This record gives sequence, structure tokens and C-alpha cells, in this order.
Amino acid sequence: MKQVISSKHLSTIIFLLSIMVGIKLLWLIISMLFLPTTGEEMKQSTQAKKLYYRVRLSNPSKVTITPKAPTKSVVISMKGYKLLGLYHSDKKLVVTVSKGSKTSILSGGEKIHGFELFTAGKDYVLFRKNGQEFKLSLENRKNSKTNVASSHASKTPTSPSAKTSKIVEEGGTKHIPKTLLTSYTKDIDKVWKDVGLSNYKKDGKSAGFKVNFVKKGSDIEALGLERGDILTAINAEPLNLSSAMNFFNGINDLDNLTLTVERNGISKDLEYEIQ
Amino acid sequence: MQMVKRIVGGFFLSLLLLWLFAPKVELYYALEKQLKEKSILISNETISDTWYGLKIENADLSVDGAKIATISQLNFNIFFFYNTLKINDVKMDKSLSNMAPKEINSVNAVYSIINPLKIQLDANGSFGVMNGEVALLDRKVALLFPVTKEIKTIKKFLKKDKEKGWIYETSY
Repeated sequence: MKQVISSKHLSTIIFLLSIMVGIKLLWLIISMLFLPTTGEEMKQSTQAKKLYYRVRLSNPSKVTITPKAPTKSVVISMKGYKLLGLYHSDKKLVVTVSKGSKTSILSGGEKIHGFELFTAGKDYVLFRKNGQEFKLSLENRKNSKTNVASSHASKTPTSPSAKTSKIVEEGGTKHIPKTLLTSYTKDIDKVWKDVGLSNYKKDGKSAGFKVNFVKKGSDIEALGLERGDILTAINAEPLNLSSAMNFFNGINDLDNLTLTVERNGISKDLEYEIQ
Repeated sequence: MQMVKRIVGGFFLSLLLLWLFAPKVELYYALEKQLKEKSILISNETISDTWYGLKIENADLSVDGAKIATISQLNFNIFFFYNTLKINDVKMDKSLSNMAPKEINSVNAVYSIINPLKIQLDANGSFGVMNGEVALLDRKVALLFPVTKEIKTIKKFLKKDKEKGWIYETSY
């Protein structure tokens, strides 16, 4: 019988095929043992609820109120007390009241000098004591603000940043005009002129931004940031490029802001209200 | 002589087959995993295996969880001695409009056996033209912008050189 392929060619073909099979097998083993079979995809933000909500007590006009009619007709005003702030929703009632120089924050059901806080209307709250109801109305906001602003001005007239900056401190919280924030978002160069930030890593992972410098007399200085601070969170959300960009993009919708900074190893919250 | 021919032929054939049979998609996934460790993520892309490399289309590029750009096309061409990465039509995210160039038309990265310690880069876009290199041993990146257009947004990262133009240098 005549041979179709010579033994020499046959051995060459077997040699080539064995190389092909060997290499295919080699890659197969490498793939199975060492290479991932799926790619990495970006996980969508879960829009998880924040750990807490900040309540802007000083601005009653922005608070959603569910008015509840008082149950009793006898209402007496509370002399000596002032209602400074009010937050009222279906589930929560929080108010700030002052008497003299002392300020207290109360939740629904709590008592102050025997007066029990039990309900609220749009711009007033009702307390109960000895079966009687006492009404406390919100202080006029404009008057209140003017008073605070003027007292602040008299207290700190010489601070250079206070002169140039539009940031005002009121009752321990700094108030930032929205226009000031938008001036930074519109002109990003202004940010880099006033503050130097670099990515801060902890255990190889991004853990915030380090403040390398703060321009003297700038609005950033008036915010209370200092060189060496590590910005770790904005509104309780850990700070990274993503949350920083989200913050930057949504800055117009913010009413308040909490910057968490690590200063000399100690974590500190800087509170701001945006107006 | 016959044996030598067979060994040499077998060696080159093995190289060729190693390249052709390489599980390029899985190798790309491995690259993605490495990039993820540096907080860089390429997602939502369409991957096609070509004989000589990979074609990736419509990829979203994210850094640190923030989407920074959409890339129309990425081409990895692997020829062992001459490897290229071509990126076409990069649109930066709107949120970065104040911080980065709006558009990058093309980026070419070349790694060749002739210059094994460096990766050559060139790009053009709304910023003008860029040439540069990555020094693999020194772990340094140097980018030169000899012809510039809209660089206002990236000027703060650049240094002016009277002769060469604008320069960006960093290490990793």
C-alpha cells in the first residue's frame, strides 16, 4: 500500500501540533490558576443614608412643619424664655430655647424647669406644666440676626480675615454666603491660590486630603483650616476624590456643612451654615 | 543540521503561538485588577479579542470612585518587541470641566525593545500637543506641551520652560 504522507512530514506535523497543543494547554492552565475570569466594574453608589442629619435650627422658614392644633384652649406665654430654633416633623421635634444667657436644646417630651415640650406649630411650640399649656413663639429672625451680627462685630473688630472675608461666626457656627462658595466653584484657580491640597493616604488607601498651605487673609483661612490639617470627611461622608467631586457639584444645594479634620492627631468637626 | 532547524523553527513558532493563543481578555482583567489596587477602574466597556491585541470600546474611566472620563476606543497592540496602546476620543466628565482639558483626541503609548526602560507617550487634544515619556526605572513621568491651546485648566500643574514650552513632571 502506498503511503499518503511520508514519515518525515508526519513527524514534522506531529511536532507542530504538539507545540500548538502544548502552548494552548499552558495558557489554559495559567488562565485557570492565575488569571481572573471577570473584569472589575464600578459599584454604583448605594445612596446610603447619612449617619445623622444636621438640623438648621436658626432658619425656621426652611423647616417643614406639620402644624398640630393645640388640644387645650388655655394658653399662657412663657415669660423670660425665648424660642431660638425649631425643627418639627412627624416623628421628631427639636427646639432651642434660652433663658437669660443659658441656652438649651430639647426634644419632644423633655422638660425645662418643669415645662414639658409636647407639640409645635409653624413658628411656635407648646409646653405643659401643671395641666396648663404655655406658648413660646419664634424670635424674629431678622432682629435676632442683626443682634448677633452686631455683637460679633464688636467682639472681633481687628481680625484681618474677618475684615476681608464674608464669613460670619454666630453662636459657634460659621455662616458662609453661598455666593462665596460659588465664586470658588466658578473659578477653580481661586481654590488652588488659597489652599494647597494633596491626596492623603493611609495604609495605601486614600483617606482624605492634606492641607499643605492656607493663604493668609483668604476665605479658606476664615473657614478655620490650618496647614497640616487632614480633611477626612464632608458631612460625615469619608473624603475621597469621588465624594469631593460630589460635594463640589452639589455645593449649590447645601444648607450646611460639616468638615471633619484631623489636627495634630485629633479629629475635629468644623461646622458651617451656608446662606 | 536538521535538528538545529527544527529547534530554531520550533522556538519561533512557540513565540508566535504564545502570542496568538494568549488569553488576552483574561490578561486584560488581570490588568484591571492591578489598576483597581491603585483606585483606577475601567468599567462598562466592550472588549473584543483581535489576533494581535485587544480592542476596548466605550469605557468609563474612574479614579477613586469618581468617574472622570469616557473613552471611545482603546487599542492594545502587542507584538512582543513593539507594543502600543492607542486611545481615541476621550471625553472628560463635566464635573472636571474646571480642572482638566475638555477633550483628548488621541493618546499613543509605545513600549519597544529598542528603548526598554521607557514608555514613549504622545497625545493631542483641546490642550494642544503633548509628548512625553515614563522612565520605568526612575519611576518618573515627564510630559512636554510644545504647542498649547486651552491649558488654563491645567496650567497650575505645569512649569514653564523658555525653550521647550510647558512641562509636567511627577513620580509614582
